[in-house]
Amino acid sequence: MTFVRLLRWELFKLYRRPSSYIGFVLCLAFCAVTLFGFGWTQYKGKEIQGLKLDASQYLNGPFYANFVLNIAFFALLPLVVATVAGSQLAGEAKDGTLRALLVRPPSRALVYLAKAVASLVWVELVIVFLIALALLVGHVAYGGGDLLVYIWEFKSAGFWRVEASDWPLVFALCALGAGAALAVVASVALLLSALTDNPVVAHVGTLGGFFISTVLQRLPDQVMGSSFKELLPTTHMNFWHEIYRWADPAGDGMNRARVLEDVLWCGGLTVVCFAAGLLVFVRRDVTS
Amino acid sequence: MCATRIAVPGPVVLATHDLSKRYRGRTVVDRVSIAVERGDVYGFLGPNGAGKSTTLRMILGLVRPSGGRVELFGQPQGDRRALARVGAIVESPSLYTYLSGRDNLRMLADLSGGAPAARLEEALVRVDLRDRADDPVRIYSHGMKQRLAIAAALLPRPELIILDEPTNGLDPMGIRDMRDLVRSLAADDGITVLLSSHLLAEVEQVCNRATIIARGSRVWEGEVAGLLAGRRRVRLRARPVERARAIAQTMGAEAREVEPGVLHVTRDEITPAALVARLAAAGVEVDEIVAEAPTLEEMFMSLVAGDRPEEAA
Repeated sequence: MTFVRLLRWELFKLYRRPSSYIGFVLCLAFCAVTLFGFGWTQYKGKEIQGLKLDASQYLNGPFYANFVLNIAFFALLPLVVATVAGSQLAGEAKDGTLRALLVRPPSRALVYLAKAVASLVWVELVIVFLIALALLVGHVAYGGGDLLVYIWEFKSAGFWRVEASDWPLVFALCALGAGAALAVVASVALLLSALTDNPVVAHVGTLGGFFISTVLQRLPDQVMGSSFKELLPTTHMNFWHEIYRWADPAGDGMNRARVLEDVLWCGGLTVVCFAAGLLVFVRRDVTS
Repeated sequence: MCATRIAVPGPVVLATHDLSKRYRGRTVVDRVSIAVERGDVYGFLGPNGAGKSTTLRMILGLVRPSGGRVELFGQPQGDRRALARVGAIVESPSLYTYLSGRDNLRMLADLSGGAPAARLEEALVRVDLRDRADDPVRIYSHGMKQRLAIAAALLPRPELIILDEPTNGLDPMGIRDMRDLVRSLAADDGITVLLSSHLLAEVEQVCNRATIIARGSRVWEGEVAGLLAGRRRVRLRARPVERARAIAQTMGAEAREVEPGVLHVTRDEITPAALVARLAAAGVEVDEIVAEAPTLEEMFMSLVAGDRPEEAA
């Protein structure tokens, strides 16, 4: 009961805090800029696996939404996660409001857990908003239809089509999957937020770690060996892309073993970081 | 004006035993023991940097002691039920500036176990913020924030309230209102108060008992009346000064010339009026007479030097 009460107030604070909306504003800006960029470039099509495709065949609302989601996943959404989760403890420590919370009956552990869950809920809301906005904008700009999926990781597998009746479910599952993958980033941000009284340290530290991992992961295997890449968090955070394979009408090509391994890896890292953050927070002196 | 104990002396509601805190090998609080009894308005007096806030943070569980222990209502530190009986403001008021005053109160009261809406309104009226309750706290003055923080601390009806330098940053009117409020908490609500301050006059006006700490260590604990016993004085500029000194001494006072023509006459029982009457009768001209209390710095100097007033048993 105390936890539910704490969670309700944590969500209320996120809802009322102006800085919480930076993620939504960035989503709007991101969609506007990409639309403008498409228009500027007069994008006509692309050759994929030797097959020349006319943009008019696949550039539609769902394609645009998928494009936005995949770019945002490694550029925009980690930023949103880092700022929301990274501000949860360090931001309150900096403002002095952490004292007001911790001199009240709820335990530190419950306060920490409520903040963690509130962060994840907020991030999920931003993801859903981004997808819904991109679908809306994409439909207005390019119309509807089937979704053509082409993702960098699957380039060797080419592309495939998700029928119009299936892509709403695919997007819903992708929203959940991307949110689950970003829990890794949230847990790191919360850990850093528990270690410092300065939210900027938590934001920059989290984003720095994420981008270093992303860059190393994308280097050629000759430069950065695949066995080393397996140790990088971002290597395992794209498991939700397999949802597209699952939806492939030509046959379920989902690599279940890989998904399971990635989910376990991300889940394990998330639990470890959350637990470490909790341990730090429960024991630390609040001197701000 | 000295405050007196409002309630009948009762059990100890807050006790620290040899409480210590060290940061990176530096001792900031050194074996401080205090005992606050039910009904006390207890002063925790010391200069800035003496370790007052660190001690209060240890009492409230914000900082882990390096040594010693805390008991709240007979329970060890960390007992959340005991903490539910305490209201506290540590240093500056901790409020969510993007929320309204009312939302701050609702949230903080809810996290303390809840309070009915009528109590919330009552608390806003008491701190004179009802008309501004729906404004965001970011546009409040410091005094308004301080009053709102007190309202938040009072909402769950605490038995003990801990106020850390509550008059810091307030204007003279705000300081007077805050002191009146603290007195009223004890007199009207029967709440035990632990008040930290670096102002001797504040503690003297509001508290019945006090502890003084300096450089992290307790240098005195006892009744506030005892703290100032034998330390009140009159500053007297008179001619001829030697004759004035002799008259004061015949009244049983200690008289010391602190600058040419100026005496410090020390004796609690001697009022300025009585002294002036005796001096005038003896033909001494009085140019200036001022009743003075020692400053906190002077108290520390004398306490550290071993000139200690009578300690309470």
